[in-house]
Parts: sequence; structure tokens; C-alpha cells
Amino acid sequence: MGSYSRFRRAGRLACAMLVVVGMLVGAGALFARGAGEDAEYPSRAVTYVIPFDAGGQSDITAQYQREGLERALGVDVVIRHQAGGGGALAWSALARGSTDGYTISGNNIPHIIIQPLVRENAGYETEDLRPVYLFQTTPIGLAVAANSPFDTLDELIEHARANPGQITVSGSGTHTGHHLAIMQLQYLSGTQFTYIPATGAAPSVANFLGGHTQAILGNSDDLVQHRDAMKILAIGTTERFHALPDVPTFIELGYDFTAGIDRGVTVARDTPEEVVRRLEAAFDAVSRDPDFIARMEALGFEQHQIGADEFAAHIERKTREITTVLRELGEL
Amino acid sequence: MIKDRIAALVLVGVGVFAWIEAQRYGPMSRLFPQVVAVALVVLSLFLFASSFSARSRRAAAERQAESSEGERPDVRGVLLSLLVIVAWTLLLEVLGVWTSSVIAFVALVIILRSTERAAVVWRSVALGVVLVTGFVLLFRVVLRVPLPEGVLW
Amino acid sequence: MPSLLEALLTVGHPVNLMLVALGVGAGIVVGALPGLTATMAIALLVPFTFGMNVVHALVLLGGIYCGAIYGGSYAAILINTPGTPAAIATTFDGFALAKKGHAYRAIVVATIASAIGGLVGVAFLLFLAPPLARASLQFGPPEFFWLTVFGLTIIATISPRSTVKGLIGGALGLLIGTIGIAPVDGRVRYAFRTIALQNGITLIPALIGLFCLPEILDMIASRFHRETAIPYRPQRHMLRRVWRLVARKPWLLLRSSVIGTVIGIIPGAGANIAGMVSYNEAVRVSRKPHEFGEGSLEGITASEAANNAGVGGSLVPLLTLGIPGAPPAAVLLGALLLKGMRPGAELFTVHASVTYTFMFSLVVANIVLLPLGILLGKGASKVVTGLPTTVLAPLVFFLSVIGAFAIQNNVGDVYVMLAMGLVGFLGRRVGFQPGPIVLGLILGAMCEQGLVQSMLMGRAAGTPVAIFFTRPISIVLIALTVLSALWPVLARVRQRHTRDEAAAHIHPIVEEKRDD
Repeated sequence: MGSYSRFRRAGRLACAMLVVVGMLVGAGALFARGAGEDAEYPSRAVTYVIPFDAGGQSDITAQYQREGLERALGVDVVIRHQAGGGGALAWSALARGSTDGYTISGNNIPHIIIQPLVRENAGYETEDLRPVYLFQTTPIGLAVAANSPFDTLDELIEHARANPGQITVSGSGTHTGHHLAIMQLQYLSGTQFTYIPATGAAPSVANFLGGHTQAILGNSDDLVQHRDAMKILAIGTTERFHALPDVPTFIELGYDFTAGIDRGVTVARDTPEEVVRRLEAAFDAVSRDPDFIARMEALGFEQHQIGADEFAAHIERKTREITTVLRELGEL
Repeated sequence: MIKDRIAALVLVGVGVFAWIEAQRYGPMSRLFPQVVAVALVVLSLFLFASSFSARSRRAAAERQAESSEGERPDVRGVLLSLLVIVAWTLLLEVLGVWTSSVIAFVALVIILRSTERAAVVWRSVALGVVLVTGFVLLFRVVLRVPLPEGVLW
Repeated sequence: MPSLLEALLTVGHPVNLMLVALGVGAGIVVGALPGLTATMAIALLVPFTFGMNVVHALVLLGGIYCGAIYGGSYAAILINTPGTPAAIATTFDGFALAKKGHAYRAIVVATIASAIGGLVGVAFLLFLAPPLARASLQFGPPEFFWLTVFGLTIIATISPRSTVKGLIGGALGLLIGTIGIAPVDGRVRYAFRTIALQNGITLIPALIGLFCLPEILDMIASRFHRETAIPYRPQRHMLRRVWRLVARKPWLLLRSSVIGTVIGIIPGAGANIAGMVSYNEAVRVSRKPHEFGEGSLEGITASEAANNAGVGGSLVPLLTLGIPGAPPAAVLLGALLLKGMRPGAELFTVHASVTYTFMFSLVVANIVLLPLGILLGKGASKVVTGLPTTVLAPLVFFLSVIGAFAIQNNVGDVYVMLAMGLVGFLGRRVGFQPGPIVLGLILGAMCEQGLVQSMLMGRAAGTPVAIFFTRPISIVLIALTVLSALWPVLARVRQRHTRDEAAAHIHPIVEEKRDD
């Protein structure tokens, strides 16, 4: 009995001590954070959330940006991955999260626009997120196999018009840049393709290279890498793409649309204006670094230096464009 | 055996529900879940039916004999631990991973102890606090995984 | 081949050797923690390699990859929870051995099998990468569909007590796998307008929940050594004995390694499935199938040789085509691109010396893995079997929580882990094992993807049904599926046959007895 009560006493004591220690630590943490809020932003590490898997294009770009950002902001920048729901997991967390600017997130167009349009509850609305900076586009191009009978986009479209749904086109995911591109092409040319969505860019390329689809909507970097195995018919840039100067744009060929994945960075909507501007300036500094631009272009990206206001206008424009296409094609 | 029947009926329910819910989806996203739901229902019905067979009764009796051989399971310990584990998960974001884990650790040590020697219990608690602290530091500082902080730590 | 020689010399450099060992060690530790997969291990350590030169970075990451896939076996053996999904099949026999007090022996077997499997995988990578990568592209949607159907026949093997319950578990897993965004039309299914379910049930939290939580609760229920640690008894000549035992099964090792490599090469399949398929084949070929699940060393060998062979396999399409064969390889792709190295022909011309250094470092990693694994394994089994339940149970749960959280930095995943844990716990009371459920969950998404993609392809080509049955690899897979599904029946016939034969002879059946 004696030892039992001693145990009980010991247990209670342990609990009491833990509570005290816990409160002290917590108070310390709160105090430290409280003091931090008064100081100028940023005063502690900034978390840069990548809404996709490690090793993807968004991740690679962020890894390159990190050092420059740390220099520009003067604090640590921690990259963390929160993949899921095609980006929705991270964006819904950001929309509901704190507005202090210490959590920023990659922003991918068109995903961030389409998801709230087509899902019952994506967990966020595009307007819940405040665009900060747009730094990059991966143009999307359309290609067929090297031994394909089609040599130009017109021949492909001609065939598709005569045989609706017969041409299979590989791409990455549904309600993504690739999916939107095929929808826009169908809408503008009045044809019908069979879009075969894969779980990512790599499996999509594998499906195409294995001859399981006749055409592919591929990211510029994949097109550059595998150009020997394919004929690239058109690319979704406004002007000719630097890495593929012989490939015409869709616009040149008479289909007035651009296709690509725009990458930028975003924060929660109610983040203070001066915090947004501070981040904008930091990303601007990084994005103008010639070394960074050269490295990114070598990987097959198109670099931009677009600030918060222009970025917001771009999202608005894209939203209108996408809504029209989706509505016309009966997706909404 | 009775357990089999309950499980089978629950799973039939799950399957039927999944099938009906999938009715709302498009032809491409409906196909796979509905096929699986049908399989689930058929298999569960088979389980339900076969639980009445003589062979399954014999097997159940055997299993009963097998399980009653050993020591009596610690039902109280399991239920209390489950409570602690659920509370632990819910408090994770409120209190922070370190605080909630340390509290839950102590609670589990107290629930699971079979000795009354305080020294032994203390040793478990101390070991627990050291391990939790060590792992939290490993994740936060070395691997930079932002574990939930909550109001405390 | 000057680049080969140069690569050999670079690998032999002490700094590189040290980095390989460091990577393997770190990989083992991370892989052994439940919830921290090989993918996570590499992703978490990529930032550390940022300032390093290409060779150092790749050598380190390669070591981590090998170490982590192997390290998953520790948790599988010691606490019945696959440390990485690749080690699922290792739990079947590993934990059974641990319960009998032979945890260390199980780890030694896993180590030897992993090292040999790993070496076979790297050998394929070194000598046959380009033709194998081209062949892997023949694997299109219909082949994926049939591969997963074949994978589902494993259920019969891993649920010997009740096939029906195994099948039900598999169906449940497949159904759970459909939660979230549908592969073709992007429709959100079974989410009931919640955000948490929109993302689907992530594999890792489900895996931890189904395996780990029931194990903790059973540990508690059985009052298994509460505060007093069982003394650790080292066995004499254990290493040599186990070595001899494993070496006596060269075919098992080779077959498992080749299965692992091949499945690793197929983009998207990966080590998770490799271990289970190899286990399934081992059971089928074995002369003692009843021993599987009860602590068969063959079972551990099959699973571990295959999953580590998958490492080399998954790098085949990665290095030659830039298409990762498995999720950890996808993160490695990112690391390669970060260093300005583009997979493809360039890797074998411009960067040949770096590429071959990387491949050779994998050979070194698998060799280093032997002593390092045996050493760490001894430590781990000593510590884990020595911990009293009062510490072990909360500790394992704590690790489960942070593991489930860390995979996507998402608290929702911790709830998923808990919910699946309750399913697993209740299921176990009724005789449902976690293996089939997890198998269904892993294969479900792939299966549906293959099915609907094939249907789209077939519809476009005007052959909606024929596409499933006319392609050569598909036909092989269908034959394998039928064979696998009928195997229990065939085995029973064979057993009866041999029994009759034995009865015909007058000699008594002498059971082979080993005192290891």
C-alpha cells in the first residue's frame, strides 16, 4: 500500500511538474512571438509551401530561389511540401491559415483557378489568396511521335475533324494546364480529341513514348528532352520559345490561346499590404538575378518579373478566359 | 462467429452506400467504385452465409479455446489507452506536439504500469520525456519538419 | 572507357566512401522510423546537398535511398509496422520471428537479402539500362490494369486463415482508395464536401494506422512484459549459420531480386509492390508454404531482396529517360536537375563519369549495408526488445503521429491514421488482417487509372474490349493471374498427390529438422 501511494504521489508530482514546465515553455514561446510581431517583417523564418511533391518543377524552382530569398529577406526560408488534391490541400490550408505572411505558398495557374470552379468544395476560393509575384511559366506544347503521319498541326486537326475522338492525346491530370490546353484547342478548332490524363508529367511522357497515345501535350522541358523521339507541332507561348525556335506557336497557326503553367507565389488574402510588398520586393530581386534566369531557362522554363498588381490582373483575365472555355465545353 | 455476422452486415451496408453514392458521379468515375462495391457486398454476404456452416462454428469454437488459454487480456488498459490516444491526437494542434506527447506519455505510463515501485515508473517517464524531446528536436531542428506547435510547444 | 576508370577512382576516394556510409546509415535510421519513407528521407536531405558538388550529393542520396528501403525492415520486424511501404511483406514473417525472440536473426536475414538484392538491381542498371528502359515503355495502361489484377491475387497468399476475409479486406482497400479526386473526370468522390477527404486517404497514414495502432493495443492487451526488459541473449555463430541458410537458397535470392528489379523498372509500380509479388512467388514455389506467416526466413528473404533490387530497377528509366520508376526516384530526379544534370543520353556522354560514379556508389552502398545493417540491427533489436511496454507503446504511437503528420505536413493525416487504426483494431478482432486492405489501397488507384485510361484508348481506336485482351504483355499477365488465382486449388491437388505417394511408400516421412 505504502509503495502504491508513493507511486500515486510520484505520478501526481510528475504531472504537476510537467504542467508547470509546459506553461513556462509556452509562455516563453508566446512572449518571443509577441515580441516578434512588433518588429519589422520578417523577424523569423518564413515557410515556403510547395503544393506539389518534392522533385517536381515547383520544388526545383523553389530550391533555387531559397538562397536568394534568404539574402533578400534576411531570415531563414524553410521549404516544405504539402502535396495533395492537385494543390488544393496547401491552398485551402493557406486560405484558412494565419495572415502574418510567415507562410507563403506556390501559386500555379490554371489549377488554382479551375479547382474552385469545378469542385463542390475545393476548400478555398481563388479570391481567398493574395497573389504576390509571378516568376515563371512552363509552356505546354503539342507533339506527335517521330514516325507519325502528321507533320503539322493543321494535318492533325484535319484528321481529328474527320474522325472525332480518334486521336488520343496524353497529358498530366484533369483540370490542369494540359487538360485546359486540349479543351481550348478543341473549342477553338471545333474538333474532338480523346484526352488521356496520367497521374503526372512523367507517366504521361511514358505513355506517349511507349506509343500508347498518338500525341502528347507536354511541358516544354519534357519536349526539349525528348525532341529526337517526336515532332513538336506547336507550343503555347505568345512568341517563339527560346529553346525551340523552329516550333510555331498556336497563335501563329491561327488558334488564339496560350498554354502553360504559370508559377508564382501567394499569401492569405488579409495579409498586411506592407508584408506583401516586402515579399514582392524579395521575389523581384531573386527573379532579376541573371544567374537564376540562366539556370531556369536552361531547364526549359520561361522567366518573368511580374509584381503583385499585374499578377492579380493576370489571374482575373485568366479566370474569365477559363470560365468561358469550361462553360462552352459543358464542364461547368 | 457472431462477430463475423456483424462485420459482414456492416460491410454490406458500406458497399450498398458506396454504390448509391457513386450514382451521382459521371460514367468514368462511377464504374470502378461500383464494381468494387458490388464485389464487397457479394463477398460479405458470402461471409454472412458461411458463418452458419458447421465448419465455421467448429473453427470459432477452436479459436475461442485458443484465446482463453492465455492470460486474460487487459481490457481496461486497452480502453483507457485508446482514450488517451484519441485525446492525444485531438490536443496535438492545441497544445503542440511536445506538450501533448509528454502529457500522454505520462498518462500511458500510469495506465500501463503493473508495478507499484515508483522508481521504475519514474524511469519510464524520464525515458519518455527524453525520447520525445529528442525526436521533436530531430524533426524540428535537423530535418526542419514543422511539427504542430499549438499554444505551448 | 576512360570515364569508367575515372568513376571507379572517384568512388574509391575516402570522402565519397564516407559519404556513402553516412548516407546508408542515415537512410537506415529514417527508413526504420514508421511513417518516414525512403521518398521522405531523400526529400528531407536534398537541401543538405545543395551546397555540395554533384558527385558528393549523388553519392550521399544514393546511399540514403538504399539505406532507407532496407531500414524499413527494422520496424517491420520489431514492431510489425512497415517502416516504408516497401517492407509490408517483411512484416508477415519478420514480426512472427521477433515474437519468438528471434528479432535479430530476422534482421540479419533481411540484411543479407537486401544487400544481395540491391547488388543484383545495380548490376541490371549498370549493364542493361538502355534496353530495359525501352522495354519498360511497352507497359501501357492495359498492362498496368492487368498487373494490378495480378497483384490482387496475392491476397489469397497473405490471408491463409480465411480467403473470404482477405478478399473482403482487399475490396475495402480498393474502395478506400477511390476516396478523393477521380483519375479521369477529376470528380471528387466520397468526400461529402469535406476538405480533408478531398485529398483522398494517403497511403502512409493508412499504413501506419492499420499496422501500428492495432499492434500497440495488442501489446497493451497482452500485458507483454510491462516494465521488466527481457534480457538480450546473443546467439553464438548466428551470422555464419544464417549466412549458410540464405546461401543455400540461391534461386530464391535470384528470383526475388529479378522480380524486384523488373517491377522497379516499370514506372509507377515500385518497391511497394515488388516485395509483395516476390513474397507471393516465394510462397508458391516453396516446398514448405505452411511455414510462411509463421516466421519463415524465406519470406523475409523474398521481400527484402526484391525491395532493395527495386532501387536499382527504379533508376533504370530515371537515368536513361528521365522517367522515375518509383516515388523516391522522382525526388532523385529533382536532385539531378538541381545539379544541372538532365537524364537521358547526356548522362552517359557528357556526364558519364558522374553517372558511373553514382552507379558504382550504389554498389558500395549495398556492400557497406552488410556490416552497418548488422551492427545497427543488433542495436535496434536490443533496444526495442529491451524497452518495457510502458515506454515502447507510447513511443511507437508518438512516432506514428509525427510520421503521419510529416508525410504532407498535414494534421488531417494524423486523424486518418487514427481512424484507420481503429478500423484495423476492430478488424483484427474479427479476423481481418491489415495486409489485404493495404494491398487494395496501394493497387486501387493504379488499377482504376489503368482501367479507365485503357477504356479511353480502346474507345478512340474502336476496340473498347479487345484492347484488354490482345496485347502480348497483357496476355502474359492474364495467364499469370489465372495461374495465381487457381494456385491454391492446384497446390491442394499436388499436396494430396504427394501424400498419396508418401503413403504408398512404407518409409516414414522424416521431417527435416534444423536446430537454428
